[in-house]
Amino acid sequence: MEWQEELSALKREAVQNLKTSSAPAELEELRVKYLGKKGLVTGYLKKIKEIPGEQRPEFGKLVNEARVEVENAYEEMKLVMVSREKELAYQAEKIDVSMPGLDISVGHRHVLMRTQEEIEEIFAALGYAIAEGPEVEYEYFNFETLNIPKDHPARDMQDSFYISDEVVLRTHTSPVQIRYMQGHAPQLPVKIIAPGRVYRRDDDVTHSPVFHQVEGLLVDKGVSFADLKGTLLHFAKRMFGDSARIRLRPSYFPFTEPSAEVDVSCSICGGDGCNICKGTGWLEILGAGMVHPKVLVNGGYDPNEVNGFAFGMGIERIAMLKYGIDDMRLLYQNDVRFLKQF
Amino acid sequence: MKISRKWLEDYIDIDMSVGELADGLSMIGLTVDGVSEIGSEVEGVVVGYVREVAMHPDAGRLVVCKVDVGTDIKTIVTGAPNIREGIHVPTVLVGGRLPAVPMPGNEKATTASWEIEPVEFHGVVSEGMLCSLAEIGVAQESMGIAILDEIPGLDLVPGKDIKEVFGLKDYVYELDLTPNYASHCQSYLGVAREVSALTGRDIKEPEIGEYPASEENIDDLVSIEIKDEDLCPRYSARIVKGVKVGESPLWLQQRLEAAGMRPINNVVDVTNYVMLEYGQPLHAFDYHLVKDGKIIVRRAYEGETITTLDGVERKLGSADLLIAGSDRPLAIAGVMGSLDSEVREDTRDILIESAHFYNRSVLATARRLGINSEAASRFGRGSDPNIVAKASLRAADLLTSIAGGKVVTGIADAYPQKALEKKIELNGEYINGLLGLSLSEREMIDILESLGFSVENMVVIVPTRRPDIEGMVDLAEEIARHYGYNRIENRVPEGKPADEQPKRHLKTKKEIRERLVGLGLDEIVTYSFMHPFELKRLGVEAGKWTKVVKIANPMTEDQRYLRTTLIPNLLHAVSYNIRHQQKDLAFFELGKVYIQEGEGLPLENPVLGIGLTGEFMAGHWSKQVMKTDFFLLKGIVENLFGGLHIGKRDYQVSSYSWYHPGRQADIFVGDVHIGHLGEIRLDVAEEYDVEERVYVAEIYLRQVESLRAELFGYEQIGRYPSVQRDIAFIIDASVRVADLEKKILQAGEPIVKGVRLFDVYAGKGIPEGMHSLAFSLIYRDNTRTLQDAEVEEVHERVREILQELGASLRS
Ligand SMILES: [Zn+2]
Repeated sequence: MEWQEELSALKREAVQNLKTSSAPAELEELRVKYLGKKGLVTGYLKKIKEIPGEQRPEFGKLVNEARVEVENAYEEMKLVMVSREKELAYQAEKIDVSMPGLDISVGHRHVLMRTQEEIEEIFAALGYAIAEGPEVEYEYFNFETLNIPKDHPARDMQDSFYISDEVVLRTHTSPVQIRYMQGHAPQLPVKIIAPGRVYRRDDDVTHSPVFHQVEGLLVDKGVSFADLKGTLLHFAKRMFGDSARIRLRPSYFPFTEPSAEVDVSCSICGGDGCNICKGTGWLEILGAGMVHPKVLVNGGYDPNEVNGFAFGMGIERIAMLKYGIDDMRLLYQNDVRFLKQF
Repeated sequence: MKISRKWLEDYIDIDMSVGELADGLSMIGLTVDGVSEIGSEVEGVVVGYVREVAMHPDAGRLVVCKVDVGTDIKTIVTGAPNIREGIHVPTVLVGGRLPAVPMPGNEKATTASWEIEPVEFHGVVSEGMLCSLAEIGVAQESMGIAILDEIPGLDLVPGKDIKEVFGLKDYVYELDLTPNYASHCQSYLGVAREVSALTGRDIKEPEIGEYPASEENIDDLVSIEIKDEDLCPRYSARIVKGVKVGESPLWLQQRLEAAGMRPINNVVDVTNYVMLEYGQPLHAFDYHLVKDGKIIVRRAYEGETITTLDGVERKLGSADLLIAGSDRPLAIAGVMGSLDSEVREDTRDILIESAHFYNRSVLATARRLGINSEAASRFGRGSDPNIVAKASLRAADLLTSIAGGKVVTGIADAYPQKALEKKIELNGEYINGLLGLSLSEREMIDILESLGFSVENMVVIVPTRRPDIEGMVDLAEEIARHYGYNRIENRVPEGKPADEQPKRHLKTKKEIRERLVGLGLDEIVTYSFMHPFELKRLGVEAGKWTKVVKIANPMTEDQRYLRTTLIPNLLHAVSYNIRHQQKDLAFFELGKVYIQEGEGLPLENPVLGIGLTGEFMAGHWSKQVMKTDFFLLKGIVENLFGGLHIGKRDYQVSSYSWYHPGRQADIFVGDVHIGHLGEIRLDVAEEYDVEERVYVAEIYLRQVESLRAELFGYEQIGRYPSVQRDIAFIIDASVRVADLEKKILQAGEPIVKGVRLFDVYAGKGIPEGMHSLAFSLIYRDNTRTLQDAEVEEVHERVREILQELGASLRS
């Protein structure tokens, strides 16, 4: 039984070598050596001449089996080689993942416009429409119809830019109230906010000759001071977070009565007192009040039939409080190092 | 207005802490801006009794004193010339503090407050210091050390805290009064009345005592003629004879100083004191400077002049009211007296004016003349015509007790038409409805009565000191602020939303902002102003400036015009950043420009401005940088227009003075001009200190809005395969690519669906003035698959057309 042992040894050797081959070239060499046309395994069949006749069928069968086994070993190894090669290729493409990502620089909305949009969204959700009016405005709309006649002491409070005797740069967004009411009377409700630029002759760390306001106006049957308070509290919570509280202090505006300054609890210290709120726990954010009957009349509404509330806030002030900006001038300097933070 | 707590306590008992009173006042509308403590800088100063004074052994000018400070005898060295034995002197001990005091010769500067340490004078250690009144903050100026024994009424016990001796400890509340409260709260009694309504305690009015009276009758001494009753409804005078003008007692000086006023002399100080008490400004004249005792209240003549107390000659007009003698003007009514009728040291007989003037006239005169006097501030806010007589009597009484003299019996009082109290019906239902409250009528009446209103049969009688109360809503505010704004419920109103379509141009603005931010541009916000030079800098001819809106009273020259273009401010923003080492900039601003067209208000046109410079999306190590150029800007603008779905844009050569003459264009859609873009001329950029190339566009948003379709449909995606063919040729560079594209599309109709320029080359191998262009053409039919042959046929047609245009084909 010499050939059986020889064949078996050959097969073991072939499988062993194939399985331990380390590179595709070596594997190919081994394939030629064992499985090529003149390969040791394939070629072993030629020995059939030396095999006694009765053993020949078994010889053929065993040689064939050995060939299949070696071939399987080869195929298996080839797959290993391919996947090993892929891994190596991947390894060659390795990168340093700690290197910085591509600077896909999308731009930035200006913080004032971002704040204005935020305010608009809060009131849009409450059903307010956006109204507009001219920035270069007749004194008549900016003052007279808002219960601020020519020699009224309140004109002291607002030092205005004049274009001519009867035209000013509007000192507040309140003239939009009158223009809108006159255009809509007697429809109800009047429910608007009016954002836009306003102008006063003031220029320092907390004042800018150009600034932005948002005016709000609700005129309807049965509107009360309590409604004003509820609306402003809602606004404060949406703008500054659910823990925000508001406080109203009596104040004076010629076009509202009663009038109030509205403070929001300091979001920096939560009301305990800090530098930002000067230790009071409160920050002044807007002025508000019930629309003065004379203003309702000027707008074309009957104060015995309807009431209204109005409020006005400075967008700069809200933005500065919300983002802790301490110098008004940053808002108009347009330094990209500032712009890119919003 | 400054309110001393101690002084206020003369009129009402207060059992609130310092902070509670401040909060309480703020919450009823008398905003407290701050509270300062008086006397807090004086520490460790006691009454010292000088037992011995001896010459200093080694320094001739100094003396060494033994001073009893209660607990101890201290050795103190001084050089004060008025030192002597047996006097009481304020003595600051080692470790004590003295306040900052004004520096001599410089009114604004002060020394720092300082702490006392032992000091050695030629071998003798001084264990403290003897002080002057100025040093302890009691007087503005003083000579030498204070000899307390010479000041009447002080309780002098060695060791006693000097603050107790002088009543120095006090708190001053700084009230920021709104115009409506300024009328009745610019006085101690006014504030006391508000505190009374807050706490329920009664107020105590000053008592007018038994003053020495003269036998004379006022009517024999004074006559008053009011010529302009509209501006002066009431004028009165009292006379005090035989006063001795001099310095006021310390307590009076201290109170005036606490209220922020400068003591002048006892006569003026008394009128100021009573003004602070009642809110009624008074004026003291030297009676003998009023010729024949005749006072005429009249409008000034046009151009009439008066030299006021401050030494300034003022020119008046017929809108200004004068208090005049028969020979000359004596005072600008309610604003300021004349220099030559004021009380002097040798004045003996005083005429005290107490009057009521029309507030707006006083305000207008004071504002026009730029005079900011305490009197004008009070008259200007509206004073009480019915307090006039009482206030002057109080002043006369106080004056005699301080400066001696006798009060002439009676008052000369011209008051032709007594001011009546306003009556306002109280409608509880209306007030509750307005405030969102459900108060009973009783509760409302209680609040009003606590403020000094009286109510009869639901009619509120408004005291004349409250000119700010005009109607029911004013009463509602009184009720609300004393009920407490913050006790009113917070209620979000129910009710319909506004019945209105959101404005489309506002949506457009938002879309533009989002798109440009998405494309990498940063939004800027700049002022609406423009320096008159800006248009010149941009090279605009002066003749084209007439539509500019000019501000009559600008604060600075660079804010004199309203801008007619966004470009200058964009360039300023670029310049600012480049100066701060930021060179890669991509900005846009959504703002207005202002153009005066004819009469009426100017046009306010919404404009989009874009500015680019440096590298775009720079800043990564792995990528080649993209330099900004005209086509980057055009790409951004085109992307924007594509997103807004307006029609196809045509870029036509333009000739704006601020742009590079070969790199600028007007943008049209059909015949609608929607803006322009280009590269800023280098010499224009230099005007802004910018050396870099800057690319700018201005887009007119109203025009863009007019082109936006309400709705837009979508284009079907081709179901059949397309075929791409390229074509390259050399052509004269003056032939516009846009025209070539148009020709190609026309020639290729209907199967050429797209044409795209993908290569441009000029230079080596290409003749001068020519360039090589390469286009990709997309052939497609939406109903079937195209055959090669028909594509070939059409492509040949395109080639022929191009050749007709002078192109020599390369492929
Ligand atoms: Zn705080």
